Amino acid sequence: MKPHHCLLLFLGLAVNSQKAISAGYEELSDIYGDEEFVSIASGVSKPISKAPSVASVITASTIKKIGAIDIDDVLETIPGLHVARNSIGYQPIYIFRGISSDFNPQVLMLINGIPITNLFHGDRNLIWGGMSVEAISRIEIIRGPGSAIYGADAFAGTINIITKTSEQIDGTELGLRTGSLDTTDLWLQAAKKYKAFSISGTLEIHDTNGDRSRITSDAQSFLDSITGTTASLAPGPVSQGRENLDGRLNVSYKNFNLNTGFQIRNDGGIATGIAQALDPHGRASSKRYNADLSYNNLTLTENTGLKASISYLQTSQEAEEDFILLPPGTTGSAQNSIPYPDGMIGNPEVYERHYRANFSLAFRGVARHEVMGGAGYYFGEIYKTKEEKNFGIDPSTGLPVYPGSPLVDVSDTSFIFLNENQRENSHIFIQDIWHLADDWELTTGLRFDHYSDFGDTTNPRIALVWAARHNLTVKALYGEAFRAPSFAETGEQDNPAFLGNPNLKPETLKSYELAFNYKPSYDLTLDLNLFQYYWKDIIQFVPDAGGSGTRTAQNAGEQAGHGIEVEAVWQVNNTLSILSNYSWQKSEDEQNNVDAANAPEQQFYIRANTSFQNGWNATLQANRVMDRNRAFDDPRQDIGDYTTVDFTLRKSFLVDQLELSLITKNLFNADAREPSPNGQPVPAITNDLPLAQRRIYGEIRYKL
Amino acid sequence: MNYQRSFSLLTALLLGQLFFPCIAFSSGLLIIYPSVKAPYNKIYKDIIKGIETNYGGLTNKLKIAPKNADHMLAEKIEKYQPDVLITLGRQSLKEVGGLNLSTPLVAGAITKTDQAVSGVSMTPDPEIILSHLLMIAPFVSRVYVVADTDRYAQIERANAYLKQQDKILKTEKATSIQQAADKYLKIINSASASDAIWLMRGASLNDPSILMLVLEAAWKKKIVVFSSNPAHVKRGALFSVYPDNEKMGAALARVAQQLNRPDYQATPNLGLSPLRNLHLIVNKRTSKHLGINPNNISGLNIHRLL
Repeated sequence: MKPHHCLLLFLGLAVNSQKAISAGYEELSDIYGDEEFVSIASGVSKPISKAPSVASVITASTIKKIGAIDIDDVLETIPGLHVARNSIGYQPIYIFRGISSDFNPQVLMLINGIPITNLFHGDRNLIWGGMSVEAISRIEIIRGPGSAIYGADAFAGTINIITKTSEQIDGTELGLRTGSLDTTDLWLQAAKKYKAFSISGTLEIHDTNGDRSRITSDAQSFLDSITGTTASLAPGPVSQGRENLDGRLNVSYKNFNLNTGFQIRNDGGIATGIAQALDPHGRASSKRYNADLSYNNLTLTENTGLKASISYLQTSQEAEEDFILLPPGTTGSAQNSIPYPDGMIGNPEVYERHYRANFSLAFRGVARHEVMGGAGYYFGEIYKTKEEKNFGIDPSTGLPVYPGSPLVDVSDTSFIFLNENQRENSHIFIQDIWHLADDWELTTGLRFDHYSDFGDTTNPRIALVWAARHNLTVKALYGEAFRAPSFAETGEQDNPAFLGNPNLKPETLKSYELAFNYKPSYDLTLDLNLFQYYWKDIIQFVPDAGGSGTRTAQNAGEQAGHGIEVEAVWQVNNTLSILSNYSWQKSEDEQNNVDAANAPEQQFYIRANTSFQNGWNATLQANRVMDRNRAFDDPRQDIGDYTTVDFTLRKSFLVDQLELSLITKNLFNADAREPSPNGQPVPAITNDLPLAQRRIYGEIRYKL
Repeated sequence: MNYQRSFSLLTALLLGQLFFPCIAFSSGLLIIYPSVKAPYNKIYKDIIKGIETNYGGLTNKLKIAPKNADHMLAEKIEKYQPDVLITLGRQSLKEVGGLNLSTPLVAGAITKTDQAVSGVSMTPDPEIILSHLLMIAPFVSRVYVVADTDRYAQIERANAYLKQQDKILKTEKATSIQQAADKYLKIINSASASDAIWLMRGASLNDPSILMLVLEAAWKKKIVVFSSNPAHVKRGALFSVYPDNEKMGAALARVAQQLNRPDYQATPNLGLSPLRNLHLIVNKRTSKHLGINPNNISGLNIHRLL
């Protein structure tokens, strides 16, 4: 059956199904209006924040309905956002509105409002390893810049993950999911209230062998062709297994809230290898610990509210088993003829700590104004870097490390890839919401950031919101953003290819948006967004003069883009709901006057959910990714479009005490691929990064 | 007694609690509530919390299975030997009421009943809704209601309250959606800024098409529309109310205490009192359209601002 036939059949079944309201809930439904409001009123879900921005909110209930296993399954459903893959470990690249880069530091991810950005690459962590979704209460995704509120890196988009508290956890719940790719998920969550104290926690285990789709060539294939060796392991499977352990604990007492958590990643496969050469041996691990304490009092006095928080985040990127950059038998380069019997091995490790303190004060005492101001301080450091390798210079002798030599520890020497380093940032901000006239509201915000390493930056935002009709709201938005250079970009050293530049400036973005929200009927909501952006001072590794073969980070690139997003949410009847969105963007690499590479120019998503009172719930979703260009100097044809279809079926028993589910992903075995990096003279992985084909999982949830 | 023996005794007691919960209880208040799915279960949880923290005596709870009547219910209740019972929800009341027990009975989490019983209704007290209206929009002098013919009790109460405040309640009767739509449009056409429209709870008139019609016409003329249905606030009604479940639990506990007083000899049937413990929910967008700044609504604790 073709995907669209399947969808039509599904919709037909749902539309023809009888309306069914259980007598048991009729009375409660009557008082509360509908189930959605019961959730809002009882604190299970929070209403969508009306901040003037283009935002989407996904709740735990939707996450469960769509059978999401990882947060990326959820994020892919957002208009204007596509999740591509990095060749190292298949880590996610969140491409918002055409803004794409290898390490993706242009996106800010927050957990409970605290950034989880790493200093090394400005991303979530090079060994991010995904994130299970059971601890997530909701995800707020803001498209477009948000530096006036969030500071650095709220650039192309911001993803704020809010974890569950005792309000969202119903007693004690156990879950087990198992299926394709030898994947097992296990989770346990529990909550307890005692007087004014609430305590809740979630523990999640994710263990998978990972997809083993094959790539046909890698960096060693090219080297083999010019050196005459036969070392490449391609064609061969990508290595994506991992063992994740996540824990979260929330304690709240009156206005105080304490979140603590850990994310441990072990036995992580490197996908297509650190240097784009297959590495079935290498294993990465990462340990991340976080704690934040906040005080939130919206009514400190009649007209003032206060929020204050302190937080700590510790992260690591470690080599659990040697990273084999190029496989055994490689000569490493065309200039060397002696093969490395164990391959070229390099084990860089990075350890970071981040401290933050913030406060903000809201004041409502001036007629027609809501003013908010605040300040914050950040101290972050890469407090330890380590590296072992079997090539380059041996710091103890000053002589080259010859092929076949054991690993040499270059930590704490000038031959290490990156020095330990620190960064301080302090900021102040002010925001005013001015109620201009009955249906007009103007929000202006300004944030000033001072950085110890690259100086100052000031970022404004302006939003004019017009309630044009009872069912139509129009927003005009302007915002600026900056992206702080990562320590890899400012400090990378002793690398045969890439060198850091301490004089880098931050990347900047200016964005204009026009957003319409229209509710033509009780059950239908339509959104239309138009945007235009200018992205400047893009940090790129530019070839150095003099033919050294090295590239140094420079503020060289420039990109401009525009596009639209449309979304419809339709509650067809009591049992069937449909959500669909379409995104189109056109971005130009201004430096080379060509279409920008890698980001899809069009995306289409549709989801139909049917929910019956007898406990059956089914969700069918289709996602189409279209029109991804190559870089201007990439000789390959444009990458193929793909459509994936997922289906999730759930049945609950004993008043939701027991739930059984069947989850299928990529039901029709689509050949879905994400672009592999371009390379000189040829891309190392020519046929792109294959995504997993059909996967089937069974799931059981039980409430004690 | 040595430690080992006391530990064994404690273990036996704990195991006893686990396997034979009934033997440990002798009297007190027993709450009987239905097993319902999330998020509805949270409503009962909060009511029970309110009862337990305010009753001031021994409380126990008994969850009954959905749908099918429990033939063993009488025996289960008997094991607790309660002094007083609170039922939550229609099904619990129906099943427990049918047993004709001599134990005093308090009914909660229902909107109406034909049984002779004391309790607290889940239906918001019109007095509270209207007092909220007059605090949020003090300029309102007339309130229009289009209602089913069976809404007499509420309308009477509303009428009496508004009269006290020197305001006027205008009621129109409607028996069909079409009739209601016509009446609403007529009201809005002739309404001025000092008028308000109350979308009163009434199953046949709760059609979404009516709401959209009223909201559109009222927006253009800047007429206040408030509703007894909190889900209407998201769509554009100015405000609504919904139960403060913990406080409702406290109110139920007070009724139970009253019935359980040794000197209380009267027929234990106080009827259902209207719910006065309510949360307020306000639509920010609509309030600003009407020139009402929600931050300046003094004296009201807005529980949710949509």
